[in-house]
Amino acid sequence: MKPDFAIQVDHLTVSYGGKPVLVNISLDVPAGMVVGILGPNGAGKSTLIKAVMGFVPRDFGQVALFGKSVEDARGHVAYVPQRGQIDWSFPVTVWDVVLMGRYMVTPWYRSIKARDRELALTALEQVRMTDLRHRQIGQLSGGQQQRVFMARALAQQSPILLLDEPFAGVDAATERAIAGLLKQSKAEGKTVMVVHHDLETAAEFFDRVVILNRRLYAYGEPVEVLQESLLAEVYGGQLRTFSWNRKE
Amino acid sequence: MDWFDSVLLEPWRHAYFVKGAVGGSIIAVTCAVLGCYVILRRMAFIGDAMSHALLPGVGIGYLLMNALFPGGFTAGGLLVGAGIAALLTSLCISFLSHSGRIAEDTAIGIVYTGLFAAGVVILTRYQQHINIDLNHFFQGDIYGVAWSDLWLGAVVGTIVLGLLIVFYRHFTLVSFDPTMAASIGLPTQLLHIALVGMIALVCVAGISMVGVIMIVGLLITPPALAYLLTDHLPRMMVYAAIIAIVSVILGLYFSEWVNASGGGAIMFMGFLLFLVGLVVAPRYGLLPAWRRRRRLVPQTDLEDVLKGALENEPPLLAPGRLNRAVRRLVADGLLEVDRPDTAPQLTDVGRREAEHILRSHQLWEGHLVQGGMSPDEAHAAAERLEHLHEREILDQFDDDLDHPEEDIHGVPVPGEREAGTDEYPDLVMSLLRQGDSGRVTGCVGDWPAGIQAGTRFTLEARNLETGNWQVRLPGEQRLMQLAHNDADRLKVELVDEKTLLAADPD
Ligand SMILES: Nc1ncnc2c1ncn2[C@@H]1O[C@H](COP(=O)(O)OP(=O)(O)OP(=O)(O)O)[C@@H](O)[C@H]1O
Ligand SMILES: [Mg+2]
Repeated sequence: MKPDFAIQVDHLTVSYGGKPVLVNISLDVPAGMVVGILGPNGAGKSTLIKAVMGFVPRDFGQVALFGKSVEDARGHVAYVPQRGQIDWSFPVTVWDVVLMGRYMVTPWYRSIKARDRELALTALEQVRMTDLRHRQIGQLSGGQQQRVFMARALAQQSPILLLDEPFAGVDAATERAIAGLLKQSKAEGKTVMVVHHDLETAAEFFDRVVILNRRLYAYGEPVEVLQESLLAEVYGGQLRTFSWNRKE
Repeated sequence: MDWFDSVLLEPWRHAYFVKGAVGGSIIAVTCAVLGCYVILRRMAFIGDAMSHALLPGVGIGYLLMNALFPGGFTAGGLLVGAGIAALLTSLCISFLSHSGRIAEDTAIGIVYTGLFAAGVVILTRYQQHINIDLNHFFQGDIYGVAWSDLWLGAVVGTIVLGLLIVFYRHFTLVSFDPTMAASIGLPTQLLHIALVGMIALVCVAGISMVGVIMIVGLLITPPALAYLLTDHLPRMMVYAAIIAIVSVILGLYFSEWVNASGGGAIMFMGFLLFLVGLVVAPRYGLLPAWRRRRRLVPQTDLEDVLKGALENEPPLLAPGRLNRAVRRLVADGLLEVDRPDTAPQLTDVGRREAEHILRSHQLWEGHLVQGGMSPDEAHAAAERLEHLHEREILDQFDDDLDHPEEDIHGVPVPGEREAGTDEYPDLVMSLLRQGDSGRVTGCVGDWPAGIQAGTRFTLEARNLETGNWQVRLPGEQRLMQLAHNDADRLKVELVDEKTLLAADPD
């Protein structure tokens, strides 16, 4: 495998209880690229993200990060989970969550080092959540919650960032803030994969776009991939307006 | 003092009571801390299952040990048997729930009732060989605590609490976000198994003291109460431990007084504590929630009373609602009552709020009239719409109406002076009124001639003919004229006129 690809997905098939959710997906992401994953609900977008983390069992195929199989590449990825997957009443504060970003580098017999706390604090500052760091996470607005998990991912300082719908339910200001962080991560040479729903902003945020609905329908530059006929096929009539087309 | 001595101190003079208290507390604290993860991971049912499924293990262990060392040492056998049963239970559950159609809770239900039934069969079949009765299994014997029980409890408690403390971060992360835990390489399966194993361990150690049901109760109830009291996991663990100890001590006293089973009394006290907590817990309790709801005076009432106080017109509210609204406003420092028989007066903060509501009413009115509504209709509508006083929309109305100094009835419209909040960082000159003084902080677009950042000013009356804003700059005779468009673009901050003059060296 060529190590200049940050993420290589090779003939990946994943199923849940006999139902294939991802079918024969192959996809190479060069390092330093920001990739959007688009597709209807239930398309397997979250599953693809989890497969890249090695969290779901594969029926077939391989996933490699920087040329190493996922199992050997622990800690290369930082992950922002989809909102619905978090127990928001869990008794942890904003600060606790961001510190989790430094758990990996802290051996079990040590407490967290001052330097790691500083990194966590910096990440918190980047998303402008320092003031709310003692809040329990359930007592934040949706956009603020999203930012906390962004901060955790930033604190991990991993070369690969996987974000599951970071733009869901956030206001324009938070959207801009998150888009800014994506740009910044790219500038730092990180590889980013983002599950996204808004076709209109896709071309602006991403270098490449994946269209997924259990199968890989397209992968390439936004202008090539965001074709009305293709989207109509993938979304099967769910989508009525193609405002991204009107922009031109 | 007699009472104190005979009721509260007397029991402690007996070894059985002290041993019960110590043994019970060790088990209860261990259960409570471990239980925090049990309830956060929604594993309560597994705890229940584990404790019941130990029965066949205990039975078989007993038979085996009796056969190997007739009449002798059995405690070790029970332990090993129980351990094997626990392992078997978790393996069966995991196998069944991954086998396809059967969901995990169904699998748990099947496995533990099955194993428990096997235990009952074994125990009753070999009744004459086995010196364990089902009663003991269920309710334990807190007054019959032996030294071996204490040692076992201490060892298990040390192991479990030790693991939980050392691997606190691991258990917390894997409970909170298993996906991330896996992605940074934590052994999620192993951690889960470790938790199940620890549940099994405390069951084994605690069953002879407090019995199965109480073990489950101690695993769940104190953490659940602690969860109502705090949002902070380490604190939740400490609270749960304290609640557990209090339950044990109260339970032992209670069982002394009413002569009831110790295990039952302990759990009953735990349950009562939980009920009390459920009602009074500060944030998540029922009573505070109910009081918050009752104290909740409708915002519209509050605003009507404020505006009424400003205009000296009593609002149209039923006396009860009026009273409640006034009390609330006094408590919040918006109204003050000098003497009981006089009408309440607006405080400075209250006046500002009231002016804001009044401004809202006037601007809505103006907006509606501008849109073609008759003044009477507009007035009635504004009575309701005034409660929608988001500043952004009001400022837009104000601008549409060319920042009127008077409303349609000729009543002066207060200016807008709020700024510097997160929501409204900026104030612009056109929102101010005659007499306001301040400092210019910025300008959108090109600066009007003669004004720059830092320029201090006092507003005079608007020019009646041109509608221009007339601004007095310190040390200048002539009034500066600003058109509507310019006044909208100038960002300002209010400064008290006296401080303005004092700060001005000229
Ligand atoms: N743990 C699971 N067990 C069984 N089926 C699952 C599991 N997780 C997901 N699925 C199924 O797999 C399919 C893909 O799920 P996935 O969460 O990857 O979709 P998605 O594209 O992220 O959808 P959404 O836009 O709604 O988040 C869905 O049909 C879902 O029901
Ligand atoms: Mg998803």
